[in-house]
Amino acid sequence: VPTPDSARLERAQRARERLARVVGGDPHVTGVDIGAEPAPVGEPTVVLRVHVSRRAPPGKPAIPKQVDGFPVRIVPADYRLE
Amino acid sequence: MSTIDASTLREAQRARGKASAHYLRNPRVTLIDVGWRIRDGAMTDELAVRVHVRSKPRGPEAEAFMAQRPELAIRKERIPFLVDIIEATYPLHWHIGLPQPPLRGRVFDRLHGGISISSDRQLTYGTLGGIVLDGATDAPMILSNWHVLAGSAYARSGLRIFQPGTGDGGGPRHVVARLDRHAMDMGIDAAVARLTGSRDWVNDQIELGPVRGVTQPSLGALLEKSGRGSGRTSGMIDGIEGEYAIRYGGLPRRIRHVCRVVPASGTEGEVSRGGDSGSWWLELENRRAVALHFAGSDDPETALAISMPEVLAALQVRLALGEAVEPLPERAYA
Repeated sequence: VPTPDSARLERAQRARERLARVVGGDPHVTGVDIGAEPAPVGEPTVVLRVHVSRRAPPGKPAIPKQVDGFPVRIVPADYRLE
Repeated sequence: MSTIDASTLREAQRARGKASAHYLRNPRVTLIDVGWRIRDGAMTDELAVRVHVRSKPRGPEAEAFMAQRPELAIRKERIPFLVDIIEATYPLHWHIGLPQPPLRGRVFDRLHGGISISSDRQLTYGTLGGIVLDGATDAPMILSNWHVLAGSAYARSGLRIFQPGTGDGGGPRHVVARLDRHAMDMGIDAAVARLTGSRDWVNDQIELGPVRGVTQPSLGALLEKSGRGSGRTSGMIDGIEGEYAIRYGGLPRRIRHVCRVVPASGTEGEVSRGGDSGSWWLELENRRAVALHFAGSDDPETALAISMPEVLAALQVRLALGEAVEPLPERAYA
């Protein structure tokens, strides 16, 4: 699996921190992280991901479509200790 | 007695299932299990499917029995594994107790990664991740989750740690370590417990082998772990640098430096389940420790784990790699 270059990941990390400050306080947000999606050519696309509880009301929380040029994806998921 | 490798054990378990299907309704049969073959009253090191019967005719008596009651005969060829027929009956003792726990839930006379553990505050079990060395004193310590080794804001240093965990029948006879310190105040669900010296330890993850080092989680990395809950499982990192809100006893806590592990492309297997907390995710190929498992989800099937370099730095410990030692056989004496 190709790995995104480290400079891009560092920028993504700063963008993730900004995104976490924006949405992290919402009780329906279960997590914020960095993921990757395959691109048609070359390195994968780095994306930011907001994990949202399946119990969240439709349309909640409000999530930006992109941060600092990185697309934001929504991942429906609830996590528990194991 | 030799160590059982996992594939042989699985083969024996499958054969035991076939033996049960054929013979558990046979009125001669009192028990069918998997264990060491017994010859001349002594245990051997051969793993066998053991069919326990009320009476075991021998010599001419056996031939007569086979001729008269062929439907009650135990035919070894129907069981695809070494078969041992044992004469024994088991009267009820009227004792209500827990069923025998699986291998990882038993007492180990050498501590490995991947086995059952808990503090004495909890009626459950998590996983003993592995052994680390105190950065200041080199004292050997268990590294697992805070919620496995402490689990309460009231837990104090010195709390007793049992192997196996209380959920597997562990108790005051099974103290192997005492809680030392944790990193929850840094958003890292990790803790270390200082070994008491009551048992030896080895750099070995059950079914995986020794840990070879430590490395950062990276997108797409293929991993394996050995945990008390789901045993040996594998997966792929699809998210890094995560910050997750997880409920601890009803209270949300923010956990940082999290990577997410999902089934690798083209697979649908289980990644983790309850009881795996504290296990270490290792690189599939190089066996370097990548992350400390602590949470997960069944829908979608995912595991959450904390970056191992961050865990080690927060707790000021390093992996006890040492020389890989051939693990001794496990001995269940609980």
